[in-house]
Amino acid sequence: MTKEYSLGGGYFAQKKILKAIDGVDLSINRGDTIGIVGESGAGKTTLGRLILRLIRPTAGSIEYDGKDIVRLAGRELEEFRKKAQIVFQSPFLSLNPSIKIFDALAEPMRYHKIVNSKESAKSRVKDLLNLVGLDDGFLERYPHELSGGQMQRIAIARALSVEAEFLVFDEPTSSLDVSAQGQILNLIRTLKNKLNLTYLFVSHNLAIVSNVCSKVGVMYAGKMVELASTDQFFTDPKHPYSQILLNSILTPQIYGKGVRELPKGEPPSLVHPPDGCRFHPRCPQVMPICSQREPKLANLDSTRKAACFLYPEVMVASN
Amino acid sequence: MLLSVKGLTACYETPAGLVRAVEDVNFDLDKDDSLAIVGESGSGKTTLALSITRILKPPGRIMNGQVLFEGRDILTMPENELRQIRGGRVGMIFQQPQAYLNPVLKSGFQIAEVLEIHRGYDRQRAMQEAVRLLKEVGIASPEETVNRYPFELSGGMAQRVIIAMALACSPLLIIADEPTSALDVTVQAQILETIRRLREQRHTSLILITHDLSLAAAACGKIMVMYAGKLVEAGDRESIFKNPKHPYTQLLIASIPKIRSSEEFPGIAGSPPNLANPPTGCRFHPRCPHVMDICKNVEPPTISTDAGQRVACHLYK
Amino acid sequence: MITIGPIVYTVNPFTVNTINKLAPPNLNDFFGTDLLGRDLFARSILGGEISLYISTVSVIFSLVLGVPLGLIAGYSKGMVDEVIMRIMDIILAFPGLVLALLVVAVLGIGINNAIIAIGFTGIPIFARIVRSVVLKISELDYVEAARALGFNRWRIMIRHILPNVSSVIILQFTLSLAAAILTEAALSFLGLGAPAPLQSLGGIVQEGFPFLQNAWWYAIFPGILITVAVLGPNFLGDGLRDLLDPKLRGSS
Repeated sequence: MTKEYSLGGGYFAQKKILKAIDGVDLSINRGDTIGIVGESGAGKTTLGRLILRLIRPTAGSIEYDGKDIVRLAGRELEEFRKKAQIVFQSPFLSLNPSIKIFDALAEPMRYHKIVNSKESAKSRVKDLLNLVGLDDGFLERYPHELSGGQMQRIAIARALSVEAEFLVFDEPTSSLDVSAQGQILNLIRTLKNKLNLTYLFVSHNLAIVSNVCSKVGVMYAGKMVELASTDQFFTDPKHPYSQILLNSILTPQIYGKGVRELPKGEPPSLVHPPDGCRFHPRCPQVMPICSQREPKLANLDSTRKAACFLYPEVMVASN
Repeated sequence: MLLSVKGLTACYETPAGLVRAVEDVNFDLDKDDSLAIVGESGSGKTTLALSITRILKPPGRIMNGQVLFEGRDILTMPENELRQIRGGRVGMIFQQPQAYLNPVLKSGFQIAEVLEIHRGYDRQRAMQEAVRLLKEVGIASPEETVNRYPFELSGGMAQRVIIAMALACSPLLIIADEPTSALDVTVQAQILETIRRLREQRHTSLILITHDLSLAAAACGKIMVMYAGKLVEAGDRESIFKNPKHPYTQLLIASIPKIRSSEEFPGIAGSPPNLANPPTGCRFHPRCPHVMDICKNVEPPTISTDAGQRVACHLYK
Repeated sequence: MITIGPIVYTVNPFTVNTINKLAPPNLNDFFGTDLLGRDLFARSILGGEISLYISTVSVIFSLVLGVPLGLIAGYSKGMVDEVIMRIMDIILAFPGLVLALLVVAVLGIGINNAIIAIGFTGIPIFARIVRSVVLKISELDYVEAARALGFNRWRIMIRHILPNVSSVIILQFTLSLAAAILTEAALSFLGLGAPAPLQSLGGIVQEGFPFLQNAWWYAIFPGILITVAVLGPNFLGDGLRDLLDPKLRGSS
């Protein structure tokens, strides 16, 4: 499976265009776990939703398994929906409070005719619960009776109930307590191997991404600024913003010494982004060209890309 | 001793019963100290923060204890004295900056207000001081920001305004409850640096409430770990990190995701307890990997080691 | 009290006894008697039943039409929302009673027409209230999850959103009931409600109005009953509101 798309998604905010994502190109291969990191306003949440066509791109295309999904409708759209699912950040908000756990898991299966009798529904639901590490006692409960970690497991089970092969995780552990985070992350990793899944993992937590994902994409102000394998990214980040992000991770060693290479300023407005490279006002290695032209995301070698004029490949590609 | 909390117990009266949110917590804080109170949701840390300055509202109630600030007990002092302390000698910073700023008042005015009330400044002098404070907390163009409304500010800037308000009267103590959880990682780093710098300059003590152990260690010299309303371990950060004694602390430290380790993520089995009906004996026993029989029936006493560490666990005598 | 009345109180409200006409309240006839000597207490009980019947059915009518409109408007947004809400605004522009009068003028007098008239005036408020809750709910993750799972919009609206609106609907039902009772009383007072011999409380008041000076009990007692009938649902609604709110807050 290759998913290729180049897209720009825009929202209208007060008659000005707010470009949540601007010209992002991304390919995902079957079996990948790609992590998308960035801060608020980077567009990573929007990216996840666009890929699943929960919102429509203003421009560009999204292909799943060779088929353009932007124009899908009816039966074909339903088929796509079964293959690609999303797990949201807050399990408290992603489970309908009026729906019992059993129904929450059985309904998608009944709707898509994956099961057609009460018995088969019940047995499949039990299988799903087992898959995510919960026992049968949860069938008759309502979401508010569960803990955050348990709810998130149900959310994952629900996504798997339609036999999805591609999962988008949108900050799946950010709303959970530390004690539940580890459990959920282990589950996510186990399921990938067990069921041969492909993941898009959106997170602002670099440490988690480093352990779950094989590739990392960094977004800033609606643009993809670096793409690399996890190993490469964490040992040798190329884009100045990536370097700053890595430096912002807190460790006990920092106490009393201040943080080296502190980022200046704030993430920019998406309605009036800076000219040229969007990161240039905050970049410690800014050059004159950075405020004049936008760097394109270019291949630095066969496995990594970056969008920064520090690299000659980018200069060439941006002309 | 700047702040001395003794036997603080606070609870919530809910339809489901009496929720014992904070039970019998003791700690001291000296001038220039920085203490991080670490715990997950339901640990009681926020209730504790609200109780220290007595701003806990019904259905919450402080049941017992003493909070000695500069020798005087906050829990029993009259309202007018207490109001002088709040804002004047103790500043507070909360989690969601936008929620604690009045949306219809300009930011500069809100800082100035603190000065007018506590220091008796007139408007002009207060506004000048507000500008100066904004610069001190790291806002690039303070003269402009003073005239902005909170909704015009980003999360990081709004939090800086709150810090400016908290610092306005040069308090002796700042209590910060999850001051950076709602902020981006890079902004968090900036805000922490600002707080550190200001503390150094003004010798202000700090109580930082957080669920993030890494943040706690990066920002504070002393750490206190809470679980289900009880203090389970306390000590300086070196000891806690090099030699964590309580099983819960050990699990918390192990749960900090390390960059690029391919091991399993350690979690903590089970779920946080129901505080209306907490487990008997040690509240952590249902989830403890080292549980013994005594843990199920008897609450562990808090003992001190010679290194100044305190721990409440039957593993230690 | 009114609904169990006829079971308990066996006096026939229709018995004419002209010798005893316009008698003041006494041990036999608690509310006195009317122009034709009928027991006013018995008549009031019957009238109360009719008032309640008309009001309740008309609120159900408002609900059955208003809730789906609000649901569709809130979930579809855009043009559909605009059109529906503008129509609701037009209905709301008329004071309730005036609108009810208009409808009765068009349809004629009768119990069913009264129900339709009063019900019609109540539609916009259900639509509005449901719509505002639906607007909020449709932004929540669990609705987006339902869309991601491929459910069609009707299933989402009915199975996923509607159950979470129900508490608001119930609350509004009690409040609308109080208003409907009042509107119905006013309509009947003007002679446009349920016709004789099955008048509602308002109709009895209308009969007794000319006799306020000589036989005050004729109009006053039914009037008091109307007040009681209106207060009932109002208190129920207040109680419900208190019950629902802290439960929502306390559940964290």
